[in-house]
Amino acid sequence: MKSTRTAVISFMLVVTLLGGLSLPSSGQIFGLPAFDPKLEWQTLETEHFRIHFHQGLEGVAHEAALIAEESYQIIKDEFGQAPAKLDLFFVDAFDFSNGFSNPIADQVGIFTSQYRLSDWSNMRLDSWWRMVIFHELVHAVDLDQTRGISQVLRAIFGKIVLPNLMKPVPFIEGLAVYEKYKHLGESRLNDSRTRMVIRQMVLDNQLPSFDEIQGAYDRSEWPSVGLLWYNYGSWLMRYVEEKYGEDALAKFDAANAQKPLNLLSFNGLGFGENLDNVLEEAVGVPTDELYQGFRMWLREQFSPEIEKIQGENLTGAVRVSTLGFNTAKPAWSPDGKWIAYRHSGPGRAGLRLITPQGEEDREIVPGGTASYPAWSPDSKSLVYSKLDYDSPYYILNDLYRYDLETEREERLTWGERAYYAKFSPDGQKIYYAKNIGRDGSTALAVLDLKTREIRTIKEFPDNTGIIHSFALSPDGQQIALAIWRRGGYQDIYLMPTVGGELTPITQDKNQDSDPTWSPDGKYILFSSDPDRIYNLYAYRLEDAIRFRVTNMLTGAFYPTISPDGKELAFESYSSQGYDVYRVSFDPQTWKPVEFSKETIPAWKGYPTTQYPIRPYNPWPLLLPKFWLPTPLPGGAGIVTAGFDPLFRHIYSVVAGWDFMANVPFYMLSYTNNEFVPVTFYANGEASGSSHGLSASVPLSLSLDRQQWLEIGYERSQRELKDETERPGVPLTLQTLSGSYRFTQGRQQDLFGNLLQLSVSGALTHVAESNEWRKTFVLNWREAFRLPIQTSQLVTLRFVGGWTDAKEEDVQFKLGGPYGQFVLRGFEMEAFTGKQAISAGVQYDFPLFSIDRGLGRWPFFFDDLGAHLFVDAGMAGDRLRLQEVKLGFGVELQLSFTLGYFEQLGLIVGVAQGLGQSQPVFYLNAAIPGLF
Amino acid sequence: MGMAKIIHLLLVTAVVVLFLGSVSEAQPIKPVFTSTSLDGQLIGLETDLQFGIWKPIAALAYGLESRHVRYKAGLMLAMGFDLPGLGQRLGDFRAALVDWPDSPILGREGQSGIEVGWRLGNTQFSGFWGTLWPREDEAPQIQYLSIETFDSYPLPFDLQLSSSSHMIVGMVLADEPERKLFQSMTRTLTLSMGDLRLSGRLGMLENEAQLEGFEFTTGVKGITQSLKGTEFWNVTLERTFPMYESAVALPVPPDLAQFLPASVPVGLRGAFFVQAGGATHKKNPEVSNGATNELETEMLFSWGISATFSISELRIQTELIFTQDGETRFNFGF
Repeated sequence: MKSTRTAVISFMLVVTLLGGLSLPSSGQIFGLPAFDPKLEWQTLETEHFRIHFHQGLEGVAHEAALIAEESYQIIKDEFGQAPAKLDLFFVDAFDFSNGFSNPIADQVGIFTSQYRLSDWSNMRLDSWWRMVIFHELVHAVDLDQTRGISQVLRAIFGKIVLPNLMKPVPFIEGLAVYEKYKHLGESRLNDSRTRMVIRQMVLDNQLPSFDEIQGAYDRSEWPSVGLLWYNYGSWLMRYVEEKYGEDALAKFDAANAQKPLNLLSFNGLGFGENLDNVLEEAVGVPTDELYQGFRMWLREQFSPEIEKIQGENLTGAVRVSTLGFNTAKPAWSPDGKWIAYRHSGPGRAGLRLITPQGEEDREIVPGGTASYPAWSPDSKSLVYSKLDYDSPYYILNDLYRYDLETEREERLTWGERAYYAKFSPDGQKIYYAKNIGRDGSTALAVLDLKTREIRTIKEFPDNTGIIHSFALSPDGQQIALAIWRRGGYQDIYLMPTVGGELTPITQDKNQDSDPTWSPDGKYILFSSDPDRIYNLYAYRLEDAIRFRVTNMLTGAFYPTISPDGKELAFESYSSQGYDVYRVSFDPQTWKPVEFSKETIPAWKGYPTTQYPIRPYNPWPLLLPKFWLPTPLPGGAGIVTAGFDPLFRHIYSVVAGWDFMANVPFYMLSYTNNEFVPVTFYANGEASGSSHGLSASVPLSLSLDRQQWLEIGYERSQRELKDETERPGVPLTLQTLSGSYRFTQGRQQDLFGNLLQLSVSGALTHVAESNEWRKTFVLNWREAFRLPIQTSQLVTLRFVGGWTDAKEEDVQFKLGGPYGQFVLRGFEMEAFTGKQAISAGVQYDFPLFSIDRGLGRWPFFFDDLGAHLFVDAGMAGDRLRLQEVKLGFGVELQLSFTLGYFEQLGLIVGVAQGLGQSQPVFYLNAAIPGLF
Repeated sequence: MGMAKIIHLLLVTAVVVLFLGSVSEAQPIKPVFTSTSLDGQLIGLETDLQFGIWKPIAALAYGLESRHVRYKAGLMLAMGFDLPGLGQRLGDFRAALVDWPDSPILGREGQSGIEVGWRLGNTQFSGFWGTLWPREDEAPQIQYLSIETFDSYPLPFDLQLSSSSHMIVGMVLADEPERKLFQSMTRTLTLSMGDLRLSGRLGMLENEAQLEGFEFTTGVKGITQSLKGTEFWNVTLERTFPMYESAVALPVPPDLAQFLPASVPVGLRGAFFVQAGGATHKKNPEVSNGATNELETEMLFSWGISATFSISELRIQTELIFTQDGETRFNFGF
């Protein structure tokens, strides 16, 4: 039972610690209960960094040390300030590439997987490590900036003072991309895909408004907010410096860092400064003027490029698919009847089939991570890769096969980390690229479908080559591979199918990708981006002549040729996003081109440095990151928290003095994440104290279904309320509790279904009366997203509670719009009993998208929706169906973004309880992002 | 042909059919092992054979306490064909002589007499002329018509609606004007979406004939009390979910590989359910015809969770049930 004081403190802790980018929530680390306990961690220390790594990553740590120190100096010079010491950790637990920066702890985390990076990034840089370290260090330095009053407050309160978390997101993410371009020469800013996206915007005269790019919200239009923040935003940053001087962004940071309103936002959550005020101080113009100038400048930048492309014969391609967004990876079936492809967009994601004529489009494999479909020679099945939990500690890729006749999926590999696959021409084997080693290195392997034997064909250890994609020749004798090599070279190579030496077909900095063979074996087609424009190119094997196959205004990727050799399908782009297109396969129309041949610098392997390496020791790194006073009625105290860079140990402390009761109060919490999250806690205040522990154990984890068991023990003491009966006698309770949670998400095209079910029980011993109390609660909630383009939900719920406790204050309370036993249309906690039931059905539907900011304040109105609902419930020691209470009503939900990151919802509702004299009006908070 | 001859003919047919069934390994024979209030333990055999369009129906059982032979002997003509343009099968006529512990009449254990049936698509028409097994001093002579239907409809959003109904209109045979009707109707609707199921049943009856025991009985899980009445309803919401699914490989010798499965499915499914039911009856059953008699409705309610462990077809189920009176019940069963 929580007192008001405890509730207030809890709220402050949540706001303080979880508001921005600081602590992992629910004791989980990026979806894992912990990092693999078998990982043996070490630390390499440089002047400005502690680099934490596990086995298999020592070489990476040495290289990262050199890159990090080099980058640190560049970025510090740019911004003027930088944290004295940062913690970088590298972990191999995920088969996807990512990095994050956590400014409250000067912490940077990097996932080591790095396959197919050129699909979304600029791989002309010499290594993924440089790209990701520089990017995250820009964040670490940029978000750490303090000036004036914020500098003083930082000195007092520590790293909770982070005024630059209150910036429009392009000024954070776009800034990092721009700084990479500015200092390293390559980044997503000048990547061919970014240029393509902006070229299309300019061509359509559809540049987004500033409101649309400033923060997080549910965007149903293409491009995604991510593209707007990082890619488009980086051009905005470039414009600011080109127009207002090379130090304009540093000035912006400095001005933003001393705005008092930004200081009042705890860790990015709150109401920050009006952007106009910051910009006028930094560059002398308000937002609208700056942004209008940017849009005109952008048109000037891209118009010559558009004219140049249009000056040559444009390829007249027929659009096959129509879903847009991320429609990609087409594969033409050997019988010529279908094109398989992957799609992800608002409300749906999965593998799909469509006829080459663009008809009978349908989803076959739901799920956002299934990708790179490849056909069996008999056109009866598809092989593809998919991400899922390999154990509670890893999320990895494996191969799956979908049989079109039985409509069943079969998992082919376990823990193979296979991310890209193709059938052999005889259909007996599957060749695949996979991650090996901890540092993102790759290999080519083959699976014999009959014997299930796996054989490695070619390994690229120590980051010597990252296989992007490959294709087998029609006779099965050769493989054409796209391989990224150190120095930033992604080229096409030929290799015998049995393995052996690589013969380069291209050797330049163009990002050559996704080779495919013509059915007659004469040509290898691939996509490449000379002049930073992606098109399809062909290599004729008999005379080594190269041809340009397409001249698309936007771009062309991922070629696949019809089995009769007459048509060519590929991925291209329009203002709706990516789609599958089709043209004639006619070598007579192709234009011969020259490709430059560059010398690829030899990669000598990971460097070694003199920096000392020692076993990872979390304890010195656990010092509090900040402290804040807790202004509570009748008392005063402080709140602080800390954690080590690997999240093994997380703690929070709230402590103070209650002047009214003249006693101390405290809330202490420590979570150990070495195996599974185990939390110890102790709370105390005037009315009582409690301490205990809880552990969360994953029973089964997959991306679409999870089962968790939570067990806990608590001992608490509080004063009896009824002092006339037993004055001054404390009530000592010992509680053993257990809770089982089942969560399952299911999608089928636009239809979605989310099931959340929990069963919890508690056994409580009351020491004074030597009695045992039992409590049981079942909570079921199931939401169905109707397969309608605009998201509409029908939600069913049932909560049942049973206890044998005699005291009313621990029995169940039914009534009102909040709490466990909701019954809208009735007063809060109108009914009490040993048993309670609350059930309901609700229909949510959108009214309209507002998508407008509040002037230039950090507040964004997203969507307005409505809910219609019917609630039913009953509570008492005995339940009688005749006494069921019914309520119905309507709610309006406003979704908005507070600051630039926090997506919240506010509900205004009116409900009428049957038999009640008047309706009940109420305000409530909404749960954002159910699907 | 007299009735006695018909009975002898059908009995002989039943014996022959049972014999044929026992010697033919391809034909199914099911044991009969049940108990009734009249016969005590009944032991016997039942078979269902088909020779072309001929499908004899036969069963024989012996009551250990009553020392009475129970039987079912008849013939089905599986001569269904499609109605032109309608595509429905017309056929499967059935006629049988029965004295068997089975009756669609509420509150009755069995019936003796002549059964005829006709299946049209998803509808089964049945007629009966004979005697109900006695609950009273004298067994009532009745005749009735029974109509059973079943339909299933796929709906948008992966929903499936299935509907079944059973209507009986019958009469107690007696001299005019003693002949009086009895009739009942039950309807079941089930709306399901994957593992989520909402099922509702309701029924109503008229018992002008004052047939003893002709009333609905309903109840919910965990409550031993059952409700009786002339009208009833029952609603169940059930959500099952997979907790564990696997297949245990069997070490099958190669020689037996074609006869035995290579693996056995093993699973654990959880579920939660909510159940409510009610029945309406006359407050005072003694009130004679013509006088006003208030109706009284009683309702029951329970909810709970269950877990079912299965190895192939073997299932072990445990249930924890919370009743409306605040009691908890723990059930365990196969």
